[in-house]
Amino acid sequence: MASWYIESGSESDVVFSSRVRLARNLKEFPFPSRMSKEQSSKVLDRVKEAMTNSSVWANANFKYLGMKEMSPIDKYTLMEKHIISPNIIESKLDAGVLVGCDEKVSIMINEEDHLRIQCMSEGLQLEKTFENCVNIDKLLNETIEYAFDKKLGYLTSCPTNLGTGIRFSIMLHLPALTMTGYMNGVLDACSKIGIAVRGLYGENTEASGNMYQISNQVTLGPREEEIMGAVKGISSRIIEQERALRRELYQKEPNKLADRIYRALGILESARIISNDESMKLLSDVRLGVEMGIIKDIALETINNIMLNIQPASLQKLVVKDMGPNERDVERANFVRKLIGNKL
Amino acid sequence: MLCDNCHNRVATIHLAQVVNNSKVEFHLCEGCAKEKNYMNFNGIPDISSFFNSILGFTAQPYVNMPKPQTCKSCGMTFDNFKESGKFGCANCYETFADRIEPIVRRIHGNSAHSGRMPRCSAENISQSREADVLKKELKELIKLEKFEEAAEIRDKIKALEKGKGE
Repeated sequence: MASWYIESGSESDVVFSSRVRLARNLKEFPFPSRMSKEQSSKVLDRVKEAMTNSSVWANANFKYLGMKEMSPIDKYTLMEKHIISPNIIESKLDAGVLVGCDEKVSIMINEEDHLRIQCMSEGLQLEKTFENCVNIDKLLNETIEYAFDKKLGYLTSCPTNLGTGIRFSIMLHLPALTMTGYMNGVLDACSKIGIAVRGLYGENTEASGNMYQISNQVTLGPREEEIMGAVKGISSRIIEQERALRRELYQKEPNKLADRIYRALGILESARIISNDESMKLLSDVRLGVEMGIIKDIALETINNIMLNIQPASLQKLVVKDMGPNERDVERANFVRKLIGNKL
Repeated sequence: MLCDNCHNRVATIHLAQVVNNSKVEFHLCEGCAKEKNYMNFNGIPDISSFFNSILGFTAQPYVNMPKPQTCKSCGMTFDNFKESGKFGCANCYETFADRIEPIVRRIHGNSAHSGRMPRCSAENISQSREADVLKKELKELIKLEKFEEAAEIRDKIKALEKGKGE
């Protein structure tokens, strides 16, 4: 079964994926930043127990992956798939993640908060993703008591997550907005209405491959459904603008856009050495070609697959050998050629 | 220029913070800057102190610094929070309630939680939310001198609050 980061979903000409995450803490333990190692392993046991005793465990085939036990390559591969955060990799505590078999659900334990419940889906489907998240939350709450305050809502380590503890994110591919420079205006407008725009790997990361994450900043006050509505509303405006610009670019100078797309494809099909940055840039162009129907014989799933597996740790895992950066650039080029040559 | 704090030595550290759209500057000598934790060990202004301005703390407190308050459950001080931006435990929110309020307002606006609730608190809180709504209604009705309807609402509130205590 292909995962959400490979499959393509609704509105897939612009939307890559949807994600919902909940921050929760256990009432009787200090937050991870002030927890002893013993306390962290107790929290870990409690959460694992709560999940293993439930019927969901059997249905979704959750597996537990401990940070202590995993190799660095495996940890970074999970990070590149957005299943764990860079934060938890650095953790000195007993920390880990429960992952569902299709990798659409992950529960990070002892990250910034005791629990980070994450649900992911391909394409635009916030409602369904939110529902999955709520179900896991309810299930854990059957045996675990959460830190909660009537006025402040769910209590979290950082006050930016108080209240609902919820973050809705939509990952968008916005090459036309970026190319034309309109993206700066979008960033400005979003920041004024409490919507955050981040790069591919979250906070403080660049928008590699023209991929942007749109998410809510306010978590306290409005209900979850209202926050979801706001994120969805803004995203659809951005999606509309991106589509309009793509059409305009194509109508004005069809050859110029097609040239850019096919040159990118040409390099990816022929290169012998390629860096991550260059390949992400070119893949964005090819992706645009596929999304606009200019390139017809490459599937979006192929692009998703390449995008994920050319990341340093994933590539290393795929090739199964230790590599320096130079060797990695050669292996990356080999992998890209093999996959992009695999026409539909 | 003399140090704003000791008025004795020459100020060599110059800091500016923007608080509520107005710029506040202060000038410290190296000794006072170190003492006020605006410097790290290498004599370079400590960047974490600048986070204070992001979280919107006012810039004059080093003169009338309130006594350090410590969370009884986890031992966290408010200064610890200012440095890391993270609280130590659920009780910190009670311990530092007064100082947290303006921060929360700045991040989320002037609002209270209205979203989902955990299982055990859900029933109690939804009842008290209902009671809050009824109390507002009661006030309106009394203002309008609709006493019969007001009495009905009052009974409803009583019933709700009685139920909570049981």
